[in-house]
Amino acid sequence: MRAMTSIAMAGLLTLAITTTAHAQRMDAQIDCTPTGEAFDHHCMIHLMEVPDEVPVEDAEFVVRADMPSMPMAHNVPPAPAAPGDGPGVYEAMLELEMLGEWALRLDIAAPRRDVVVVVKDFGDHEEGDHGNEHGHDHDHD
Amino acid sequence: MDDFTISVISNIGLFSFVALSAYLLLLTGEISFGQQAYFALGAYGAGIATVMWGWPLAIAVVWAVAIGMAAGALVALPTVRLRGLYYSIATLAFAEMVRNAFLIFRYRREVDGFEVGPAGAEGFRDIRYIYETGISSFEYMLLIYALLAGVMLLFLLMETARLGAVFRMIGDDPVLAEMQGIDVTRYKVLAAAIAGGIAALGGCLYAHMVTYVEPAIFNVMLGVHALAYGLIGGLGTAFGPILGVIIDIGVLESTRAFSGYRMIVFGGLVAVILIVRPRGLLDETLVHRVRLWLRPAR
Repeated sequence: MRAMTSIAMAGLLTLAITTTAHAQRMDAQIDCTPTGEAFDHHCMIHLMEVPDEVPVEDAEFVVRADMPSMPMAHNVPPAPAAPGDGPGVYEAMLELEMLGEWALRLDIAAPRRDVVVVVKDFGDHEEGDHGNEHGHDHDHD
Repeated sequence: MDDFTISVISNIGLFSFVALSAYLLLLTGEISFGQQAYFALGAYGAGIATVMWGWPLAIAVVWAVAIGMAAGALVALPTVRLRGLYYSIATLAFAEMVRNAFLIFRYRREVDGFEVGPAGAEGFRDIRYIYETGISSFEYMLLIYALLAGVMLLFLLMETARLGAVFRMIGDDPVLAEMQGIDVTRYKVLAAAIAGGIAALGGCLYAHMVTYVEPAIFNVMLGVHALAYGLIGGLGTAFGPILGVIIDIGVLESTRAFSGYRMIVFGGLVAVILIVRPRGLLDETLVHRVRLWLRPAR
């Protein structure tokens, strides 16, 4: 019980942090293609600053995936993004558990800490089709 | 600790809040399919507080818990006299009302040059508090478990106090409890309010972890899982629902032992456990035996 009290006190201290907002934000467009193996998808990510849409270079981030219809129930391993061809372009391999709507969260560590969420419908599509061409892409961060 | 482990452990912690919320109502003999509604109210309420009103997370947490408790008490007042299936359907109906309300709820304003806020079916984005304050995933996981430890502490205190005994007595036989002079209505409203507050706390933490919520997240699947965790983990102790979450998220899901068949396996597991151990793995009998075993010999 003492351990629980200590942990709770530590949490309250963390909660006391006050907010400092950033004026700049990042945004992303994600285009995914099924690899043909299970529900794996190869994704091309175009990362940019908003609102001026300047590509973000040398970014370091992982892509996390969660199903809005089954929150917290799927734990897809976060996919590290690697630089692709062109400025602001990155690639990541997602090992999804099933088709359907997934919220992809780009957890960005560099050039500064940020987060971008893109909701994509990984529908049942023919080989060669792209994930975001079927269904809908929601507005993103 | 790697990203995947942090993500799994954080999800176990977050699911535990809503599972504990359903567990508390199970103790009073009520099966609620609607705890996801309070989870949603906490998520949206706290999100609006930090994003649009610029409140610190600490105050937003208190605000979310207050919203959840108030909503829990308000829903309990008209439903407290319902029993069994009727109560379950009433809670499910309330949860669907809340989810559908968020589908049309729009409250947008400009903050730091960006329009933010709930946008109906498009969801509520930019709940970026932990990113803007530089809290890492690991630190946030610790925060989740700190608050979970606080909730568990309350449960452990409650279970050793008169309140816990009263809740269990009402769960066993409300008529007999009434005959013993217990105000069943008052205690049921109290249980519903506490349960609402716990679920809302989980929702607040969830929204700030994922930074994005939408009404689809708060569907009946969340409520059914929360209920199932208590039923498989056991009703003998508050560790029961957490055990249920660990079995599903920590073992079946994260090890990917059954891959896409996990939901089928989980459903089968719930059915088998309900037949073999109707009060769950950590049921009252087992917990009583463990307590006797742990008690120092005189």
